[in-house]
Amino acid sequence: LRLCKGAVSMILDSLDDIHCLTDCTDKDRDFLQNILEDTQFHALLDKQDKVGIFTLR
Amino acid sequence: KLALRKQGEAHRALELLEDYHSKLIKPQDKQLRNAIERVIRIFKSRLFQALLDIQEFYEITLLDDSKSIQ
Repeated sequence: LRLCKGAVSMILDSLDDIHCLTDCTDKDRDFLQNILEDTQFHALLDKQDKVGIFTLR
Repeated sequence: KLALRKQGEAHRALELLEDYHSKLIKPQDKQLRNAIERVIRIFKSRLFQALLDIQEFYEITLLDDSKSIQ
């Protein structure tokens, strides 16, 4: 369970690394960080993890 | 419109994630690549789109007193 949230957390934790490894701009990184930290987005992730359709993969 | 802005943001996020995914090619990036794949699927999924629409519908109707659900 909590696979969706786990994946999002991992990306958030790695955003700075991704920023270094790829040639993305500060603006792109900040944008993605805002999206992935958005509370509504997390509410949707909670719903998805509850439904569990992504836990089968 | 809120709905259009949200869709635009989700689309842009998807583009960025796909770009990152294509650039993270080293073996040690595998776990991160898997996480990105998962989130790409979330963004792409119809359920996600549907939930987004439902959430926006409730937001708009709940925040707008002039509208009422028949």
